[in-house]
Amino acid sequence: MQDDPGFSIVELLIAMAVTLCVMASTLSLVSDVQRGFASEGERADMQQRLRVATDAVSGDLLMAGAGAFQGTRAGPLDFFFASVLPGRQGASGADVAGTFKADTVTVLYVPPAGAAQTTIRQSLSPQSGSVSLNIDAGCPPNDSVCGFAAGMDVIVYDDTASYDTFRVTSAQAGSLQLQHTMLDGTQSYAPGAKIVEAASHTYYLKAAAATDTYQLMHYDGVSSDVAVVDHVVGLTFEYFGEPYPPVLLKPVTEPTGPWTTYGPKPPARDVRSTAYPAGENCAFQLDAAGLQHVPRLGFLGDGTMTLVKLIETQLTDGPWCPDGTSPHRYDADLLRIRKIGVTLRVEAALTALRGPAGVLFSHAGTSRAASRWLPDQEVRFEVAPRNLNFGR
Amino acid sequence: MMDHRQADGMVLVVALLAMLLMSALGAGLILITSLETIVAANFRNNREAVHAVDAAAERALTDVALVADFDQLLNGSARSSFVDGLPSGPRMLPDGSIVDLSQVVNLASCHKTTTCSSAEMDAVTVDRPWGANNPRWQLYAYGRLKDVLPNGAVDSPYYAVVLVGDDPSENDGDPRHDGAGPGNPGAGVLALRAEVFGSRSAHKVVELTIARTSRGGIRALSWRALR
Repeated sequence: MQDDPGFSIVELLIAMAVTLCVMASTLSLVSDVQRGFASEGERADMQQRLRVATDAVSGDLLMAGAGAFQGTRAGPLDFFFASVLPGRQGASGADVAGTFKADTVTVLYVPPAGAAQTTIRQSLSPQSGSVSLNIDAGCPPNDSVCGFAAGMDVIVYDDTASYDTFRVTSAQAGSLQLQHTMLDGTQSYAPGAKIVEAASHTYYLKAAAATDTYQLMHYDGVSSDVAVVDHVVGLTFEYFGEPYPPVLLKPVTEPTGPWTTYGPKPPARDVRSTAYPAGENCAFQLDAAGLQHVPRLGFLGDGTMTLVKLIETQLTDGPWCPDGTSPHRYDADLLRIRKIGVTLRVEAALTALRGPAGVLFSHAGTSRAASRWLPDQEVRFEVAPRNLNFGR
Repeated sequence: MMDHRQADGMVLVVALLAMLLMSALGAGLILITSLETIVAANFRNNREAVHAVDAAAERALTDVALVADFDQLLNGSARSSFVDGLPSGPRMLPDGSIVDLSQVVNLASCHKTTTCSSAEMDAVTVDRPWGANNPRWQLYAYGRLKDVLPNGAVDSPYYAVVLVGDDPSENDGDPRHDGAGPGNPGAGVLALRAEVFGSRSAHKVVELTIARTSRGGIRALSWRALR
């Protein structure tokens, strides 16, 4: 061992230099992998949140307008009332009638397995109370409440473009106890009005800067507001509608429909069913001679069948259905809706992966190194509700 | 003086630790990205299935409109031109999985894979609450969706099955005949059930209610995606 000359200072320096180079490249590699490990997981999570949001919203939009499928007044809801509303509707926190909110949509439809559908036996006021039922054909056999059950949400509607939503609190012996889940009104539904199981789905953006909470929310129309997806920072709904006004297909006195291409049929010439003059409703009026029903709505677009984008003013300027005095009136142009465009934007949950607010980031994060940034992701899709497009 | 063998050992340990760290991080990344690929593929399959089942229903509707007597649909004597052989037996999907047509009909009619008895089909259940008027599904159209149009114009891996049944709002208690007369609200009304099957167990179902128009055509009353 004594003969061992050991390392010279030059050898030591070379060895150290080589080691440093190897360590430096290794560490830089580790650092890259570590950064990727942190951001890729978040990126995957953002995409998954987009998928969940897309799935939830598109599933309900696709079903919008599905109506009763048996008995009287069967068919899509847009033959009776607007089933896509640009605002929040329901028992709590409902928007003022006629409101347009670009980041909120409410859709109504009869759920796929909704076998409970019949007509009412006595007149019904649009407020909480009881209603007796007719047991129409299509009701389950030996069922005195035609498939309705406590906890079920229902819609009552008729030919006047009115509708009201309720929750069934009890069901027995041919009658239902109903909790009204909209603003109470005064216009009663006559015996024979349709009552069906229904679903109301409101999607909206919750943006609370104080608590840094940005969520896609769902409201069931009665009591439950639930967050669907976190860190959703953008939500916009656009509406595309039928350019042609509704057309009367057959005399309104004919016993079976459909009477119109879309929208509620008008009353007979000498019948006044709403605040509109006799023979008229929100979709149709009488001509100058008072003889023929003509559309109240006008032509939109360039004269082709191409769907037209419906802007806020068009959806908030009337004519109103069922009429301007109704506490939950809606613009008749909502009956035109055939397609809905949805834009969703999500942000990285970790502030360390977000840079300064701007084009890439809706909300600022803490990262100053662009190599660590994970910009907001945005997706846009369009849904054509099947039940609102049968006539096209 | 330092022992050279010990120094070599230290380098080896450091190198192994570095490799271990990098391997763990790399494996984690691979796991995340491969999972992401699978999730994305499932999502895409699901979206595609929605459109596939819609297409299958539309295809069947064009043939239903040509049938003058709905009873022929309800007793199974009329079938769509979109069929790929006998109305029973297994069909193989592109991923090797099997769809058995008889089982599809039985599952729709009584939630069993084996033959349904009359009592089972008439049983009142949550999704079939009409008892004797419950639809007794008949195979109407079935085949690979890519065969809907010639020359491979449709590039779809889905297998489509469309069933027809009587409208449950009929009051005749006979689900093999379309009701007649003004007193029967279900006269001229049919139920259609379209299903598609794809790879990775992708499966979508929609039900439609259709009605004969006064001009002899067909109009849809309701389109419902079952979840």
